[in-house]
Amino acid sequence: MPNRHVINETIAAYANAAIDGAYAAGGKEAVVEVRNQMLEILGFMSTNIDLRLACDDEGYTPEERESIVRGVFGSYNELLVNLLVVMASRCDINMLRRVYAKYEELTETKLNFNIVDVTTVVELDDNLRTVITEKAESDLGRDCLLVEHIDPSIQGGIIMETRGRYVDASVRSQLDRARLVLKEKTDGGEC
Amino acid sequence: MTEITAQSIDEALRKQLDAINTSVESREVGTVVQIGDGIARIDGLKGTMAGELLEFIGEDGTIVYGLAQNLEEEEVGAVLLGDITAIKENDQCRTTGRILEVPSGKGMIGRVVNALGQPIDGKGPIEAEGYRPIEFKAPGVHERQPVEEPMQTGILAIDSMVPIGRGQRELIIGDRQTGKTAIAIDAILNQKGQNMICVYVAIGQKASTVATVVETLERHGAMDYTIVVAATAADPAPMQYLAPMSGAAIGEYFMYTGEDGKPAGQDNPGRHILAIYDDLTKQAVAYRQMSLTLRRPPGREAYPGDIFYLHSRLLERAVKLSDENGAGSLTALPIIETQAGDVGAYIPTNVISITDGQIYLKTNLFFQGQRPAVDVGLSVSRVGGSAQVKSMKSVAGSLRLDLAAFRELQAFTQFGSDLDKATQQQLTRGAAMTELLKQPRYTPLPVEEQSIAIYAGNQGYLDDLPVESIVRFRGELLDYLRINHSDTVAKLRDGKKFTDEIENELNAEIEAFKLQFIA
Amino acid sequence: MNATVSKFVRNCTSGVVAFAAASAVCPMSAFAEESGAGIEAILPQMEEFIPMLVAFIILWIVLAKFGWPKFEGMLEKRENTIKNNLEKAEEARQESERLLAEYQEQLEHAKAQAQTMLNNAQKSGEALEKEITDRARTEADAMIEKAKVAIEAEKRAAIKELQDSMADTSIAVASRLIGEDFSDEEHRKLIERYVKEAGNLNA
Repeated sequence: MPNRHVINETIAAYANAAIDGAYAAGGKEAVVEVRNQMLEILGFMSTNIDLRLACDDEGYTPEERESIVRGVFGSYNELLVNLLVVMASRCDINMLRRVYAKYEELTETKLNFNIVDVTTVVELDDNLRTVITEKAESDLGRDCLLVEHIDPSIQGGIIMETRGRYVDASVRSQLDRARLVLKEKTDGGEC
Repeated sequence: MTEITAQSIDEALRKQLDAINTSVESREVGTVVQIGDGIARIDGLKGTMAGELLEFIGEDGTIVYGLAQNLEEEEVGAVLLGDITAIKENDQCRTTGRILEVPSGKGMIGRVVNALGQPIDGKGPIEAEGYRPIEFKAPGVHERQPVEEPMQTGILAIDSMVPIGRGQRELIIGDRQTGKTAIAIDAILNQKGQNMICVYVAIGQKASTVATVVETLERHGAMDYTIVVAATAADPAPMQYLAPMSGAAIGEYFMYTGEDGKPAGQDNPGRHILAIYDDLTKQAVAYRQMSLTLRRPPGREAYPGDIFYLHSRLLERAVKLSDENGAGSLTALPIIETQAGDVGAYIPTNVISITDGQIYLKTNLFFQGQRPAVDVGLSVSRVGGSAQVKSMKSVAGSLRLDLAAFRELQAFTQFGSDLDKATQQQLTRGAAMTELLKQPRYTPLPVEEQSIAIYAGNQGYLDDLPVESIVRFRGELLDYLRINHSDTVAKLRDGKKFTDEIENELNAEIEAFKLQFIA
Repeated sequence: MNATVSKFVRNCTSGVVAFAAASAVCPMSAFAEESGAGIEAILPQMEEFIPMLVAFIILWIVLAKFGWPKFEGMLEKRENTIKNNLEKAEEARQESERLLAEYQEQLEHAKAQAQTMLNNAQKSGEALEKEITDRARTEADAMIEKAKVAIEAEKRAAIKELQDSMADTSIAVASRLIGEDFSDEEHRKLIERYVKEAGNLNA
């Protein structure tokens, strides 16, 4: 097991390569696209243990691992696929989560903007987009790009999230909170 | 009397409705990346504190609490408390900014709760007077005072030779099936009317065993001042690990607050607590399981390196507070189960070195019918002597000598049969005294009656009785004195020492009773 | 007077004894006379009589001088023994009377003790009975009290349950209403309101 500083360096190298490549290829939009795809891949990997193991199995040759990754993720952004292939050939796929974290950090420190995930029930209109972006930019003090998600299960309202900070103003969580308050004991049990 | 009406419920709900707050604050969230064996690994949550309470949100909005344990560079290891199956990978996890706390207060008394202080006896919700953190730094030197008040267990063999004081930590150690829990239960029963609140913590026991204990306590009216904290064998390891600490926290609440619910102080005395941890071996095993699944490096017997610290910081919370702090006390009776009498194993040696003495129970004594099976030679109390009442101290000294001489002679005389009269005399006295220490379960004796019984033995009134009738003699003598000569007993109880007058009276009364007994 | 008589008797006795002894000393000559006939047979013959008398007197004197005191000592001793025995018998009688009295006294005492024991036992029994009934009463009271508490707790639990289910129902109704009755436009309005109310994202 190498020194953790060495590992951190490796991760930073991957993340830098990804963000520089993406920014050079298509500006902020490409950076956001790569980031979203990276999240998707992470979600997929965390539920598919066979793939995770296969990508890091030294029993396969680096070429075999490369072809596995290319086969599974071939349809994603060319840049990202190339990164994954390199990682797979070096048995570093298990670092992807940390590479992602570093990537997020770099968007903030290097490119000076934040990516804000916004989850709603209905699609946003332009008015809402401006309102939300304005709020996020005033809160965070730098440019913000919104990534929109539609999720009917939140029942209404909005969830905003950026780099681990999370504002849950969904109807679902409001109702949950109300339910908890209502179920709490009132005034010492004497009703 | 509570009335169930639609109106009352309506009112209650309306009251709660006002409390609903629609404002939304931003919080730190992480994602569960791995879960299993009651352990979750969480990505994110950079700002977590060690031991902080975490909130996991399950798929259908159920909230499960967890305890942050391992703070690593890129992830946080946490143990889940509660429904493990409700949480899946990719679920959200939030910090709460709080350390785990348990509710406490008068409403807890007589209840059976789990390690989080939630009732599990089906008697409805508990109203909490206050909350105490599960981990609490033990009071320092200047906040304490020496142990001086006795904590009577009502057991002759213990109160006479291994006296326990309020604020002491006395280990009960022995193999399985040697009556460790029985001693603890008897000690609880004897606290009736002693201004004590008892906390019985059952760790890793069968739920049926816990139910039996609760039933016994209830039958003897001991649940009126007892709280049972139960983490049964079916509960996850983190709950078993937390149970003793939450028991201590529930007890501490009473110690640090007075009857009026305000913090205890010079003129607001704190209460006295007896906490029984039954048993810490199981807690250690649960902690080992937790640590290994958290991938902490194993040490001796695969226990983690901080197992000593776990037990020492728990037992250090036993205290006799100074008068400025309300003079409350928390007496701890931890129980440790040994394997085949091996007190040299890791956990037993640890806990022996932490506590202020131990009560050592032996299997062979138990099966010889010597119950409680206390080995008086190996049992010690390092601080309780100063807490013993004078009357008991004066008679217990010669009892200890008699028994020591008896043990020594017994080993010698197993071969020869020619004994001089003095030896013979010592042997009969020793046999009588050993017999005198036998005591059936659930029959605690008040200290003055104990000292009378030992006094009768010391004066040789038991020497000429057949050995098998000594226990009966003791019982009937005490009944006789209680009914016919209650003034003598009362004098001894209030004076707390043997005066010439009491001795003369007792001699006459015991002789009179003996005549009647032999007849 | 008595002493003189007894002295005289004693002397006479000693004389008789001396005579008997003297005749025993000289039997031969006495039998030799029997061979004579008539009155001479019973009359003493002087030549025999004188030495005999002399012998007799000498013997008498000797016996009176040396033999008698011994004899008298024996008598005296015997007399004393008898007297002592009589005294001892008297003492023994007195002792036995005393013992008898003592035994009687002890018997009385034992009877009294047995009575007190009986009383004690009775008293103990009564006290025990009282204690048991008292205990039973307090236990019964405690049980009633406990039952009351238990009923109260049950009631509270029932209320809690009712409250919970009402809360659940109302929340379920609310979420159904929001889910079905909100138009997209209303949703957007809600979102806008929430975004304005929400706390700082960078807190």
